[in-house]
Amino acid sequence: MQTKQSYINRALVIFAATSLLLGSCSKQLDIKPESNPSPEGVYKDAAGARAGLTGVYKQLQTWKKSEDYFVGVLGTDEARGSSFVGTWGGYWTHVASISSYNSLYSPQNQVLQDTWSVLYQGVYNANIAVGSIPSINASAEVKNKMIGEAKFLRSVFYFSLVQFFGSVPMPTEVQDPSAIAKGGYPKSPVDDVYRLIISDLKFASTNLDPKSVAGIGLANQEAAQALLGKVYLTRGQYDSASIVLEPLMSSASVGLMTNYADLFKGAHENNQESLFEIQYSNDNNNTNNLANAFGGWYLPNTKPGGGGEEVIPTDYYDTCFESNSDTRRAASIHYELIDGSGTDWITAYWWWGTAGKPHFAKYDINVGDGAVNGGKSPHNLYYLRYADAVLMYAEAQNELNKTSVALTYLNKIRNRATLPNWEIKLGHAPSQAEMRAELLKERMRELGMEGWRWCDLKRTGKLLSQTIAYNPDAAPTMETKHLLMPISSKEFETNSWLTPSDQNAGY
Amino acid sequence: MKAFFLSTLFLMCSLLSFSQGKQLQGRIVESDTKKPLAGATISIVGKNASAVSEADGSFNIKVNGKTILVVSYVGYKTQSVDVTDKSSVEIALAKDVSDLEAVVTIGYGKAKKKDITSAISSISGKDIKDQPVTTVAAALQGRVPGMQVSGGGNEPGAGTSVKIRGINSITQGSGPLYVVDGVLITGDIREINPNDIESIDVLKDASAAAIYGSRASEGVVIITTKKGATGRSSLNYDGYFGMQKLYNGKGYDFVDNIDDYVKIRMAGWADEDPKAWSPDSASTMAKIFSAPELQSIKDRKWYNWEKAVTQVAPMQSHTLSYSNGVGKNKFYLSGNYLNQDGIIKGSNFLRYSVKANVESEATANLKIGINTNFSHIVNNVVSNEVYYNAVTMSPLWPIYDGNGDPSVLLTNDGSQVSVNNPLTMTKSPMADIQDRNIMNVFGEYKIVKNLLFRSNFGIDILRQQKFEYYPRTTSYGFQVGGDAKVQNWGYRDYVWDNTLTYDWQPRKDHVFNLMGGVVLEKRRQEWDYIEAQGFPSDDLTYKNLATASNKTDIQSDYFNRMNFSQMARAIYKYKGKYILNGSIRHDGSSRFGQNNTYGTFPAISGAWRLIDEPFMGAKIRSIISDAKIRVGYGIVGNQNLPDFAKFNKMTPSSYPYNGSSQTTGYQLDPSVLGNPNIRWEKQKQFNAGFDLALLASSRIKLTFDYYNKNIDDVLLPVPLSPSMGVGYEYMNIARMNTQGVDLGLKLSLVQNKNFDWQMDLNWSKYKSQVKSLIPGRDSLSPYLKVGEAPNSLIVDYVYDGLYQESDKGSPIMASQHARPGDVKPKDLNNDGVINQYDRTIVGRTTPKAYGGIWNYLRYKRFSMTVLASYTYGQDIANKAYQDYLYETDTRRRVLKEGLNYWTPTNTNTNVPRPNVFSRSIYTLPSGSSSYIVQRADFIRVRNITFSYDFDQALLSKARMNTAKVYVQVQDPFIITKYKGIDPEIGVGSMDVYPRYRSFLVGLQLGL
Repeated sequence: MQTKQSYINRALVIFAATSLLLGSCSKQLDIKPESNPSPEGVYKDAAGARAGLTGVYKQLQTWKKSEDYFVGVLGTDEARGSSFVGTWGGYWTHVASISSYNSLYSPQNQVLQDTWSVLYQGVYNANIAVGSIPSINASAEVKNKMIGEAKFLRSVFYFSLVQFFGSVPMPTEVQDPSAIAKGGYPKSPVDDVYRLIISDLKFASTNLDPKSVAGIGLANQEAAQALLGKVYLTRGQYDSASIVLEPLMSSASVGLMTNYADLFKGAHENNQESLFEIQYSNDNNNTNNLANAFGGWYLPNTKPGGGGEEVIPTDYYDTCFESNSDTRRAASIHYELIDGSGTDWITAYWWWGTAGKPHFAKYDINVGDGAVNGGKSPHNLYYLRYADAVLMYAEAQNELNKTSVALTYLNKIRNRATLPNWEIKLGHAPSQAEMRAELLKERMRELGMEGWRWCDLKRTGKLLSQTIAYNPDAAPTMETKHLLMPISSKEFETNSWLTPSDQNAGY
Repeated sequence: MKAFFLSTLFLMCSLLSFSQGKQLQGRIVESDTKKPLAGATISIVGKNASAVSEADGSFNIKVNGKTILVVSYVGYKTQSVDVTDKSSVEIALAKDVSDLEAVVTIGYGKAKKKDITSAISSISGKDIKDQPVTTVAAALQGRVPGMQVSGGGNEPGAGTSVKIRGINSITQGSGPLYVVDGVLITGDIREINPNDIESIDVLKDASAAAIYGSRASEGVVIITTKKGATGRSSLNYDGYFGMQKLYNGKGYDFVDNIDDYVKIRMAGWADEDPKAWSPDSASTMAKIFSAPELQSIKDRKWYNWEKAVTQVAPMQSHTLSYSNGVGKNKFYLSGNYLNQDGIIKGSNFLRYSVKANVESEATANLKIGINTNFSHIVNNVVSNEVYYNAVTMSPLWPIYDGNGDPSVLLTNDGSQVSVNNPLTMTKSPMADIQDRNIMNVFGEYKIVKNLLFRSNFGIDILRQQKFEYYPRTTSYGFQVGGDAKVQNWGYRDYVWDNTLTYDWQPRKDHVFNLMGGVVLEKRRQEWDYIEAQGFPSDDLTYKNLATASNKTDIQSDYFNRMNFSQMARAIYKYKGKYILNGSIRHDGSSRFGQNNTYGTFPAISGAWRLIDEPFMGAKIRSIISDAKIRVGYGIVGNQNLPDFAKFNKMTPSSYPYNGSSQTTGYQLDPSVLGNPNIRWEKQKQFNAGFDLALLASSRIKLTFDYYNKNIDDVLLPVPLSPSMGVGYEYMNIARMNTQGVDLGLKLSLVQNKNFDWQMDLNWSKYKSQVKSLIPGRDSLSPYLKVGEAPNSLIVDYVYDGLYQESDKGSPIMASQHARPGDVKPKDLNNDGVINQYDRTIVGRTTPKAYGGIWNYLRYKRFSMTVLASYTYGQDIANKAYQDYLYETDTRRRVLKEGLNYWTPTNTNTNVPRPNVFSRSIYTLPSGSSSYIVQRADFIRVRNITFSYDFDQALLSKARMNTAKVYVQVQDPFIITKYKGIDPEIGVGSMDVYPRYRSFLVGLQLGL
């Protein structure tokens, strides 16, 4: 019996030993992700904060790299969808509807949904940066500069959201715990959104380095000032706009490029006129698709590849230039179109509704740009450039009844395009109303398809009238409700703050 | 003539001599141990005489002439022996494995079937052998009550989806836990050769599965592979060869002539602008059709693309196994070769597997052993685009170019490939190559009598590689100059379990079986991916990525995961008729949140063997041969949450600040917001059932189970609104319930020497319902609603016919900018606008019930099995049908029904006006409506097998034990009203791989 007892004891010892051995493993159950850091792990010091900010800039780049770029461009008096797009079915019918405002211009429109999502992903990344940088290990000055970058980028995202969609949910770096439980945030009134944008931009313009000091491609003081000016202009606060834009007019570090066409050549990226530019390169995942989307990449690049042709200029844009001596015409539009097999489209496909039309040229890929193919353009896109600031300043002055000051600045832009002063062309000094109309037109000539047209028209109250008058796709369908875009239906599916009545009217 | 006479004389003499009668002396023994069996009944076929064996197994019986003895004994297989011309005989009875004494694996232990207290179903290796299949999952199809096995696709090597007892989770379902010889397996088990399987035990309810704790919420499938047997050497060959042939049943009926095809394509353009695209004009034709197509119209050439990409495909499988037991060592070795070509050219599944199981009794108290299973799979997979393109392709496009190569279908301007030639795609399938090693070593040490220590170390090493190449003859490859992708994925799972088992019988009527143990599991998983483009030529495909001009993408991932568990179980039997089973498992997992590392999973169940009660008199026993009631309750978990869902993650990002060289950084993972409080799902399952056997030799066996599962803390990726900037946060937020019944009926309808008819029927019904979601919300998305089964809703606009001329002026038609002939959705909330609030539930994908019917018929040595499975009550959103029916595309070939499209003079139709810009469905913001919802009830005959077993006497001359030949038809037919390819699979984005019939000829030999 004793031996049996000793056997049992031995068994217990073996068992206890293995249990202990395994038991000690239980401490190892705390396994952290080994291939992905946490936000806290990234935002530790200045280098980490830079890595995180890189991800915020990335959101901007992602937003503009493909069809979402056309939200704010299509469906205006300057651009329309090509007749090809709709025939590709599915998603492409949704792209086409951005131009034609047909029934697919709805809360379920994939392009509008994507725009909504990608802008908020930008906000989300910027919020983490704004919230995390204060506790990194760095000097207050370094921190404030970086917070300034994050706030500048956040205001970029919110400025588009509020203009496109009106009153929108407004997450900030301070997380509301109830938001997760309710799947989102309630809508904030338009005024509140602008209040955040303005405070962000004020902070940015005080804390960011001026462009001459800031690194290439980084948000800078001048960009923040120009954007703040645009925000004030949009709000009708012409005084404030004028004050904030004024220093730029006499700045030594920024100015117009001599030759308009150079603005869109790879060699002149990040030039003196550039205030803030969205950067692309030939690295994979850092390219954009705009050359392909505008159908302009054949020229003179003859590499074979998928030739998309999604967006073309309206006739109005095509003919808005005073004459061929306006150097912007040749830089913006090309009148020949040769495909990969050397066929001239304009003659070969005359019967295609839009194939015979001229195409947009600013984003053509050129030989020497090193693009892998037409769908992968390294071309940077301007978010803000000095000419825009000049025209904004002119607009503010004109609205402040200083039409003659406005004229000086308008003429700066005209002269650069090798056009004579406008009063000479006009034959008299312009009235305020003439100036207002001319500035709107001048903005299209100068900034055509650079992403601001829809906002410009809306700001000046001309979105409906101009689009209906000059965009044959939109003319039969466009109506008042289109002054705001429909909010993504997915937002209503998951954000329980929202009720059907929170959808923009008419959708 | 002389010979005939002589033989007749001889025959008569022999009859004469037998008619005199004599005493036959015999002995009945147990076949394995050779111990005598007392009390066996011996009778003579066709006579009244019978005898009973004595304590030493002996018996005496008077025989006369041609004599066949039938020996029967409870718990053993009844055996008939020809004793004509013999004076003494020894008859060995084999244990009847299908009977109650059969051993069932219950997880870290075994129990006799009669002592089982919960819902466990078993399939024997013999059942599998009778119906050759390529995968283990297929062997279970339609055989187990409550188990729904459906194909993941028809392509060779496609996985299967296995569901036990309905829906067990909202999004975290990944199928049951597989345990192969003690090694815990996740994912698919297509590596295991069904021929190597000794038995499969399916633990369906929580009281049985709870011993596997936090991984058992979807049931456990325990697979035991074959071992050698002492003193018996056996060499077996099992092989088949077959042909597979395309068979889509009624299938789709596409337009089949040039005139109709040309007409509808032109109609699609004319609708856009009847002047510019006049349907009668030759110049319109020249614009719409490509040059090769115009040539085909001229030559009246019609190309059969479907035929070009499909083939009659061979398949074969060969398994050779050898097992033996020499002294105290037993082993089983086997090798398998399986090669299945697909009916779509280019697809193929090839598997080599080798297996070695060795067991040795090192000392009287120590047994050690090893089980290994290595397999190598090469699975060539073609995209579903192949078949989709083949059926929808313009039949005017030539299949081949002038050189006899598949033509490259360029757009008119030559700038891109307008549509992939499906034949081209069959020539560069994705190669999915997989090596898997599942093995374990174990030692069992008998410390004292009845006290056993067992240590088992198992590993599962999986290495999967995927190679893809898109040549420049395909649309993507054309753009980028060839595109190659290489992926490596793999993991190592380690499991080490140590258990102590003690059998204890303190008094005669009290029997205890106690088990306690600890388990450690660990996984290390890696993945890497490279992609490159721009190859000098297509010749090297993915074989040398250094030649690519653009190395597009490099990604990788790595993680570790760990589980640590303790467990204990006690089984108590009183008088062999009251059985109580209690178990508890304590699981720690690295996947749970920091505040919830450990979870406890208890279970208790009991059984009452009514049949063993004295009040069951002899009369009742003559009718009822077995009766048992089982009741159980247990808690199991589901820890199948994404690794690291508890953390906020940053993913790599990059941005070229200066416009030329990129800076790398991080962006937030846009998919998941971390939740540190995340924990396992908890399923509380109640199970009550009974087992009943009726009539002598249990001719009718009935198993019934009712279960009710309350699943709490259901883990949900709670969709955050897009404005949160991140897709989901995982939360243990929902509650759901699944209840149902499983019914299994085994009938032995006819059972005699020449004729046998057995039938198994099973029927299962369940209802799953979401009980609650986030407080105050009864839906998290249109697809997830309280009161409805999760993941089962088809939500869309309600089809309300087509807009007609008479609708003109209606506000809704105006708001939709619709034209007559467009699809008309219902404005459900009557607000004058069609938007997402007009979508509703238009179908449900969960079935009402499902089951299987299995028939075995034998006449003498011929036998036939027929297996069918059925499912009813479920819907499928058949988007492909709409795509095929509506002319909404510039080139697609439509169904014949699609020719009946709307025109101002043909208004009574469901087919909208044709329009190449899909304008007739712009009225549907989702692109589809309830029109595509189809009922998918079906009965599918899975296989019919005819086989012939050779006479043993004949075989023994050839020194063989068994020989069987068979022919089999797999998937001979399906009865369904569903219009698509496969009601079991539904529709994929490019529709699905077509169905086929297989005709096999097989041979099973045993030496």
